[in-house]
Amino acid sequence: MSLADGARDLLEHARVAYQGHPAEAEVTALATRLNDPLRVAIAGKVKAGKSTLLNALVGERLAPTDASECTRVVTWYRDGVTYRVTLHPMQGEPIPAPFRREDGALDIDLGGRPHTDINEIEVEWPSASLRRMTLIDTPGIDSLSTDISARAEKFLAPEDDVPTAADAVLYLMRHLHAGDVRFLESFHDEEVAQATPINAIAVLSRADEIGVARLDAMASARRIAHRYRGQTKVRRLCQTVLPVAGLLAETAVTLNESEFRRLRQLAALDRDRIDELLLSVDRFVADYPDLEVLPIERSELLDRFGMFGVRLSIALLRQDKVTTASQLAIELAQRSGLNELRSVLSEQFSARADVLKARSVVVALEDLILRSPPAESEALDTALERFQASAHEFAEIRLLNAIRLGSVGFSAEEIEVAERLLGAGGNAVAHRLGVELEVGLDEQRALALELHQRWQRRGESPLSTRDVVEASRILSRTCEGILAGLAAVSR
Amino acid sequence: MSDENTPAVKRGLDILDAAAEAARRRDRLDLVERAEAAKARLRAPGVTVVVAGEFKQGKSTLVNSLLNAQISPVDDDLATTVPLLVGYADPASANVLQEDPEDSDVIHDRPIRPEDIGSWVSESTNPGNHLKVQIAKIGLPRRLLSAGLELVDTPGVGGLESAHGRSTMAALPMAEAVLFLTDSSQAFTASELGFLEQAVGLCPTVAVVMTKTDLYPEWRRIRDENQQYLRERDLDLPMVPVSSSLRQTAIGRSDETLNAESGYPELVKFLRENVVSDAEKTALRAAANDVYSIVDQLESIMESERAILADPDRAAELTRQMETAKERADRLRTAASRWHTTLNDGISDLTSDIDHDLRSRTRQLIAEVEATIEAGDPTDMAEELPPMVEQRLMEDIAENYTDLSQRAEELAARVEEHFAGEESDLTAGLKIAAPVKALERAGRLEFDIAERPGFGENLLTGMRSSYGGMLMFGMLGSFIGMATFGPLSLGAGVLMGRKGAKDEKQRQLTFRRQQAKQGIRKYIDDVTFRVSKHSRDTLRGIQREIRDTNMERASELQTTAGEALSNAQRTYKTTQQEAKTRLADLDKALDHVRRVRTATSELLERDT
Repeated sequence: MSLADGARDLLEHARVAYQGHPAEAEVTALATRLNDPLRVAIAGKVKAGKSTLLNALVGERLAPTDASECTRVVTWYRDGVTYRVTLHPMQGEPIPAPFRREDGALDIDLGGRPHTDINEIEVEWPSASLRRMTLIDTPGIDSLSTDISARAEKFLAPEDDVPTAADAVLYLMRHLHAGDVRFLESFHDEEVAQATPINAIAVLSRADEIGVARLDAMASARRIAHRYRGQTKVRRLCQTVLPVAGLLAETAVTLNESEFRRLRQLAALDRDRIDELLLSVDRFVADYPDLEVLPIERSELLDRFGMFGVRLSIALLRQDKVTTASQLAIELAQRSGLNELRSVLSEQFSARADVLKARSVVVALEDLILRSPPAESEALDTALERFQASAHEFAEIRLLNAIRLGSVGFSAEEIEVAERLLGAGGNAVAHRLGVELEVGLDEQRALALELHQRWQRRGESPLSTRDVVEASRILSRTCEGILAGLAAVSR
Repeated sequence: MSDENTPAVKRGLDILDAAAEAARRRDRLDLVERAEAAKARLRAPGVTVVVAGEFKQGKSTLVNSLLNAQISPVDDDLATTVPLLVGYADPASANVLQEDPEDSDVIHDRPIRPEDIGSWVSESTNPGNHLKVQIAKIGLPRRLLSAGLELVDTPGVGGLESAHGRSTMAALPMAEAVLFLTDSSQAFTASELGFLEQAVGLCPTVAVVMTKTDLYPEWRRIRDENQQYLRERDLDLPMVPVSSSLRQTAIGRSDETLNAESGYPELVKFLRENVVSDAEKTALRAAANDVYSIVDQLESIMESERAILADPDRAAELTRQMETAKERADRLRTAASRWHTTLNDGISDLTSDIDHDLRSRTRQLIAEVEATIEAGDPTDMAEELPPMVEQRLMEDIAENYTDLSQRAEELAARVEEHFAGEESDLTAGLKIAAPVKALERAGRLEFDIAERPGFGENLLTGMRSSYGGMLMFGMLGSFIGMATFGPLSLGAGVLMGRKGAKDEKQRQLTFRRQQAKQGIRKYIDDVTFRVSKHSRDTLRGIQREIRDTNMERASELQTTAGEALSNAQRTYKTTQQEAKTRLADLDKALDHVRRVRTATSELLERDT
């Protein structure tokens, strides 16, 4: 029985147990959650570029972004059949809200309600990207208005062991501050089944600014991300760290022809002249009557591209590396780090969506049983325990977590192999075995057999400590699963 | 060098020259020396400006751009790990204060090549400060620095709320000004404002510098928002927007317009006019104290001689009074003098109070931490507890140290006041001894001692250097990152999940709690031990400084009183003709020193 089937089976038990119970609707909601796309929250400090990155991932300028704090309410962006915005007030029924789009960004009419009265906003938007995952924009932490900050924390890391509404989190940071680490920690709670670096990815957002918008800024940001990735503290908290120039990514996926035309006009200027313009933002938007591109147009370019984006685009145009708007868009998306983020998201989150969702559902169900137990709970308890014990995926997650905590007595080489086998480098079988996707099935089988024997031997060795024995047992079971899967494919 | 000094300082230097000249004429080389020392202090009053801010806000870049030098290496990723002091020296020189690898209490002062300074302070070549450098200093021949300005580039690692931020706090009471850097990408964060609110209480001048204005089109709006936040908190702080990249380009091209656009001229102007000039005023007041003291002593010698020459009948009485004055001055130099007792008692009280304060703070911290550990599982706290302990400990130490500096200043003032009492007794004796109208002492009698700058000011200026405040700051930095539990053994508990034997889990938990408590207590003990040693050393240094300064003063007074007496005795043998010539000479000399005094009073009135 697959994990998803197991979870459905479990929820069927829950449905029976809660029939006629006041909490029946919550069980139904859990069943829906299992079938819905994965919920990914975008979190981070104030001005980390959360809304900007959300837009880049959706491929549309949807969430309003500007230089002051603008996301004040937790906002859900999910795929829908029609365009619709719903307000969920703190008290009372959901209210449909009128909205306009200004420069693409949504301008939602709260109907005169203060934002403190709104619990959440739900935006339904027909979009292929949102069909794969529901995105949740959250207010920044370390905000000066503490209630906004508190809302984000409440949503992402509620107290009293209430499970979070998100299945996974993209944590955006400009640099790794102590506050960022604290926050990531609070997202992981103590319950063994829940705490795991598997459902978090850290993003060095605004990566272009780390290298003060120099043309080689992204290379610099990549180096920094690489260093963070190696830090134990970070490895305990998230899968990986990626650099993304959020604004550039957003602009790359929404670039229009007139913007391209203006950039080309600027790129055609004298070298000295353009260098002079690119010295500072003030110079770039200054009033030069002889320039074809008006100050207001230059100012718009700056808002859309940022200093780094403008410098990079003009350099690309001058070197004839791009000649059309679509070429520029492709190049900018590539250089912004967006493509890499997307592929990591699909490998780490989408490919593992069933596990992540099942995990969320189990935790939520445990919480529900604790809060308002059903009249007859024994059968449900047994089902819950059986599901948790039998789900090998959960054991894998627990083990990966333990390894990252440094509590399994493996050697450095063993840690590397074990982490890979547990899917830390991607969920595909080939990735778990540590080879390229193109490698033939026979070779994969041979590798899996070899690994299976290796971990079996390690588990049976009289010298192995208890934690190593336990870990090796899980790893050899993982190999068995892989072998069974490979056998099924060959048939 | 002198072209950096303002007219007021130049005038002060001239006055000190005149005072020195007057002393030289009377062969008082001790007073000449004092005037020379005062001149050196006035020329470069020593203004410490701390450059603080969250990390990666461009602190090192700002110091580099301000001085047009590559002092700290600037890197996108790696940060400055060691506090760096940049001051004046010609030719350039540099040194580092480094802990002995064997004995952390021993600090070596190692001269290094100025061009190597980067490799001592940057994370790339000195990761985690494994070289154990507490502080690095570099002197450069720069005009801006020649007026005594000293910039401190602080390590910003880990954010302002972290222990590093706390250790920066410890440096603030030592500084004349703080430049707080925040980049123009966003308005103040909560932790930045928190830092500013505290800094204002610890340091007389705090200014906000908004960096990277060349990159953010919205920087003017961010500036307005920042100002709004400051207003809401009743913080009236100047704000200077700058762009280091424009500044560097401008210097490269010698482009004045671009330099003006960079905002740096504003910053330099602020440093000169607000920061250096405040320090200059203090220095001027201190210099005036020196002049008054020199002039008073020269005058009382001449006055006493003149009094006897003018009224030989009273010679015996006057001589007796002078003998008493000399005895008093002699007593000032002995260990039994009152100021000595005040000083020694004060220092020993202070030492034990500071030590007690530190101990009760840490005892409370330990109790709190242990309660936290008891209430939960150390495994869950392994990441957050040590930084929390570090931060709290730094906070406690910083407060303890601020207390020490304040109370030491009070003590210095108390000793000097006491001493000044002795001094005025001495001169008062002479004043009563010479009530002759012909001496035209009206001006002198009107001169009220209370008009003078506060006592202790001179001593404080001298004492600051011996404080070791910066050293404390450097030392605090070296404690950060020490608090680790080591890898906590989770045992198989985690993997066994909820089915693990309950007793076994409980046993392991108790063991982990013990381990954690021991680790934390050891860390706090280590740090407290070294801090309390440092405090004792600092207090000893302060004691020495106060004692030496006052001893010098006592010895000057002794010479003065002795000279006055021997002059008086000599006048017995003078003929009438000789007395007449002598009186004329004395009047001229007295006129000279009085003019010096008047000039000093005028300068003080006008410029401070």
